[in-house]
Amino acid sequence: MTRTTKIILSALAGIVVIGLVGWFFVLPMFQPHVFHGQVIQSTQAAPSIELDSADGTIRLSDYEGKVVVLYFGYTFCPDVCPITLAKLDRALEVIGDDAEDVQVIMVSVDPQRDTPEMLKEYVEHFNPTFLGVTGDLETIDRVATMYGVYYEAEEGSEATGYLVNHTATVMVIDRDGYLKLVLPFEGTAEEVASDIAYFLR
Amino acid sequence: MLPVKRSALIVLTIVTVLLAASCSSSSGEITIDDPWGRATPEAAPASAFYLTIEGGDTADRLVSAESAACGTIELHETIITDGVMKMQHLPNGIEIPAGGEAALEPGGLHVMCIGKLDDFTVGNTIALTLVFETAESQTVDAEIREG
Repeated sequence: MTRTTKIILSALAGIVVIGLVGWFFVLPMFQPHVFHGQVIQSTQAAPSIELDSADGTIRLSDYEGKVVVLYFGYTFCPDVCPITLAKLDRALEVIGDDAEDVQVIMVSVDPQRDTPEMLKEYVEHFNPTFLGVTGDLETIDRVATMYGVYYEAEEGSEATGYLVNHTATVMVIDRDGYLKLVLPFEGTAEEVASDIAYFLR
Repeated sequence: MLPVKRSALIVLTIVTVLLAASCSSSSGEITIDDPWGRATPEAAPASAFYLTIEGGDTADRLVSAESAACGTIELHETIITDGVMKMQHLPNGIEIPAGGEAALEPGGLHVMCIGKLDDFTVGNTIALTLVFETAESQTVDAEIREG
């Protein structure tokens, strides 16, 4: 091997190493965040909310500066609602310390049966920082319509009375009060955490 | 040669015994795997049980379930269409294919407990009786977990 070949080979090896480092470590830092949820480009702030919690009236504007995670559900729901709330709790755990800037709010789609006290106990079972809110039927109707949430009571059996079919998605409102993201029911806690964390930067 | 033959014979015997044992345990009977119930706060009027049912030799149906811990029990299925969640009551029960399985899992088929009469807190166990169309009923201990 001549001296020249050696130099060329070392130069090539150097280029390969730099290339690999760049490709795997540097480039990803400049990659845009890949969302798992559906991104929404809102031209105006998310519709205002004024609903009752066990600790008084809450307004969406009370949480300006925080990322609000909004979910519509009800305490009679044994499957999808607990899965979602448990997932949101795990997502906050994944986010870590920054999660203190996240406020999860569950809005009842069963205002006739859910009281603010029931909702408080229900959501706090999953995470003590979660808020549960309700209102009269008319207010809930209005809020659900404004957020594009479908809900409808469907006659059940004698035991269930009725069950509520409802939109099972989770909405993310950024620190400035704009609706930014809709997360599907199917996503994992890690995916939810990664999407919420984007708005905490 | 003799020791080799003998050891081969021993191996063959063991294999035969094991095969016979595994066959007898899987034949006919429906078996229930990993029954558990979801921990829900006291304020929640309902909860759900999940389990896997391994089918027996013939197809059967889970037609109902009973528990002293629930006012009423119904078999339900969560169906999500275009983001909308619906809980479908299954009055005809859940099919258990012969040799197959019926998996009752979060977000899908579940045993809905309406009107909780016991503590659905982590660590508690709740007796749940599963009633089949043809097979004899089975009572299992469902462990209460977060989920």
